[in-house]
Amino acid sequence: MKHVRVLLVDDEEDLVVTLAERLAIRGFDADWAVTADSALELLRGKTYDVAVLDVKLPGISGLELKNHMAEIDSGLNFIFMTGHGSQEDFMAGSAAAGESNYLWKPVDIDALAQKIKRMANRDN
Amino acid sequence: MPAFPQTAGWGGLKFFGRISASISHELKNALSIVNENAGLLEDLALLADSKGGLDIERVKALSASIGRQVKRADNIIRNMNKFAHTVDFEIKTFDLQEYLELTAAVSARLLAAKSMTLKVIPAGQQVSLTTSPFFLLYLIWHLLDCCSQWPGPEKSLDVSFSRDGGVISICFKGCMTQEPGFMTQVMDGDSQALLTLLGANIAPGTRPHEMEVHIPETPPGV
Repeated sequence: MKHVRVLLVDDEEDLVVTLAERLAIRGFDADWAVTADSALELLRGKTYDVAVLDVKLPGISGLELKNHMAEIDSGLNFIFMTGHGSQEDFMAGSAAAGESNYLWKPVDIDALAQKIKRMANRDN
Repeated sequence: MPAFPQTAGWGGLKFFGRISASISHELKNALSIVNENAGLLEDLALLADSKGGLDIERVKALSASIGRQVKRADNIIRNMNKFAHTVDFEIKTFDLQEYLELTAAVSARLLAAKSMTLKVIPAGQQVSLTTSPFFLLYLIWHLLDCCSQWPGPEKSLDVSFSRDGGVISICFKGCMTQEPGFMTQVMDGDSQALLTLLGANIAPGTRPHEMEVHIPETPPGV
């Protein structure tokens, strides 16, 4: 069976490493990056089905990173995660990713896995 | 000490709100990591149940990560508590380095968003100041906010301080102070009211990329 390929991007390394490991246990091919530059580098070398991005990264917003990533791979799907509870962030994130593809931290791993699978299956 | 204008009081409330929101975000990040580490421990336990074998080193690493996050959250809460207590006294005598470090801690996220780092340089001797801790923090935070929008080439900011006679100087080094719009932004909003209240003034530093705030050791009218 083909593994769904996921790229996780968050500046909290302990978070993104653990999330990647938990997704790997659930059968995903999960890579991670802690900066926008390293995420773009990974994307140039490998095709992913879904990118999971933090809304706020150092020096760049997740929404700006999404635009850069979409220039490299226009077929890439996006999910946003945020620790912010503000309406402003929710509006920005949900406008870019769709309300259903916007997750609050702490993330429910099974909800995240389901969203990723649904997105990848929709494309295949 | 002069009465604080109501409009600047509203600005102060907004500052308090922004810092509180930033702190809540930091706490949520720490909790998210604890949540994922606990979740992974559960995953590993389930795998060990069904397939046997447990990676003890991985378990130790996850436990250490949880410990780090608890310590991080504890520091955040200590700073939040200290910040909340800055409004307890209109005027207080305090150690400037301690409060500059507090401002640096509660502003770290603001600066990180612009990929900037901040270092408070110790003075080598204790420098005490008698003023409003809350409004001094508000002024310094406003200046850090300006610096984050006009970062210097190094993208790092050094904050140092010294005492000369009855005047304390706080120097910010590492932002584009010579750019025409910089000082306009510095003097925007509540700055003038804050400077009047604290009896302080702002001047370009003696070297490029520097700015200095001069504050009397005791406020006017005291």
